Amino acid sequence: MGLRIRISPQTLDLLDALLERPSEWRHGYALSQSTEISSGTLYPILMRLEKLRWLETKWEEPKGGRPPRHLYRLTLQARAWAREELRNARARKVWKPSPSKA
Amino acid sequence: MPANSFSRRSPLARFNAAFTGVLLALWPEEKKSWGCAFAAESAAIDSPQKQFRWLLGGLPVVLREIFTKFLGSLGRPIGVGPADIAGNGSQQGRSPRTPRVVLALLSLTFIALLAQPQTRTVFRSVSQAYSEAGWDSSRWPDVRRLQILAEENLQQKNRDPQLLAFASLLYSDEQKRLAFADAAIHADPSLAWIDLQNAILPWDDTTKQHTLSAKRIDRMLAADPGNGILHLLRAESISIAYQRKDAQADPNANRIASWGKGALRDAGWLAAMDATFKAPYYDAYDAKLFQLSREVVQRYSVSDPRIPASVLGRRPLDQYQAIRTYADMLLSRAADAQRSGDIQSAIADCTLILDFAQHVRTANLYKLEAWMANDIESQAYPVLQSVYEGSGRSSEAIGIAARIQENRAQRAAFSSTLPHFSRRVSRPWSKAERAALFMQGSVLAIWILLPVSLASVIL
Repeated sequence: MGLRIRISPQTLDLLDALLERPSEWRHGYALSQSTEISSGTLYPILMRLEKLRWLETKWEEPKGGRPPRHLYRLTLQARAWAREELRNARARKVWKPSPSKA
Repeated sequence: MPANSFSRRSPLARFNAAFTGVLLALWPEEKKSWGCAFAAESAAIDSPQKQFRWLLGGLPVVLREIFTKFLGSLGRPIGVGPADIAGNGSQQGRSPRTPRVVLALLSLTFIALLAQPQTRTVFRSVSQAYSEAGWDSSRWPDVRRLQILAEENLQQKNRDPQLLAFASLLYSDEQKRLAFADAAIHADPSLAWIDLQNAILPWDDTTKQHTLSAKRIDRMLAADPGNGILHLLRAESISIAYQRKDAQADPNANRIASWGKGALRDAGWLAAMDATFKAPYYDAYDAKLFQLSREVVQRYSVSDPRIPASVLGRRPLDQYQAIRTYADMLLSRAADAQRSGDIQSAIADCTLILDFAQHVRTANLYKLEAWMANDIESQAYPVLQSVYEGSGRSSEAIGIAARIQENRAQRAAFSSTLPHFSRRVSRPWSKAERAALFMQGSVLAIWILLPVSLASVIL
């Protein structure tokens, strides 16, 4: 990946969550709950990742009278990059997975 | 429990629904899809408390997006939207190309300038200079403020004589002018000179003008007996009746030609003029008035430049006509003395004029006095030259010839700077005139550019 972004611990947490089941589409609220990142922090990260084309997004089909929700997952290229970033961060001891995943 | 069911019941849920609508409306158009994504997530949250926390987290995101959009807009030329940039439409159009950031900085500069009280005063002065009210000093806020301060000060035990003296010059009402001048002189007798500014009153109505009372002139002379201008004021108080009579007899007569025919036969006037010419110095108190203005303006934070300008720029006494009339009389007497062979008397009269001219020139700040000195010298030198030549004192006559050349050169210099005396000569602008033009141009530019730049940044 040529372009890089500032990798904050929250970004690493989010990448870690997205890599749990990488091919699966995830909702924003579910990501917030699994990473314990507040909505005010989560969405700027999602928007940056999407702008760099590391994140695939799509709208789900409407169901049950609720508005359609936005879905997210890492692109194929981004998955490899994200794994490398997590590995590096772990090696440099600047980040570690949450206790439930460790 | 379905989300819609609690949103109909709970007040917090209803608030959340409204909050969602507000957040969605605030999201910038280009990022609206993210706003929809955020709102859709909130609709999927079952607990109103959790939903509220979710929405609260969205507020800084929205504000940040708005701010980012604003910053982005600063770099775009006026009249070009984000969509135009994206579609390259702006590159081909003929819309203006000034970036908003330039106009934003310009607006901030103007606002910073306007925050200075001095700038606002200059704006007000320049704007009012174009209206009739602008020339009426009684309507200037700082004049009114100083008058109130002076009136309050008059009631106090510890008076500020300088404030009272300066305030006396700000009234057009004669009684008030004199009352404040008296109070100032009573508190500080060294301010007796301030009465010279009241030499002829009322200064704004020429039909009722009269000179100061003899008592006040005496008070000034007692404080400064060596000053020729005070003797001139005494002479003026005598000649004013003759001037009025001359004017009534022939209103169309050339004032300088007909002026003071009666005065020339009045022993009191002749004695006063003799004292004027023989006084060791001639001081119109410009330096004292300047110092007084500066101290009062600084002490009482007067920021309106028109106030010191209006006080300093006025000559209370018409000096020229009496001086020229008396000088002409002396020269006529010198010519008579020369004809009768009384060379010493002829030289004495001419020298008296030339010495007086020197006093007038050296003691005053304004060009008017320097011009006046040059004028009477130009009359006296040829007579003195003729007296020297006629009496065989050729070396002194040659010296006077050189002074005549000098006098003419000075006169030519006056002609180039005083428009009144050479209307046909175009002269270069002075520094003050250029500064005034620059100031007025700047005010005009700010008045035009401030709303334009603000509108461009906001719209």
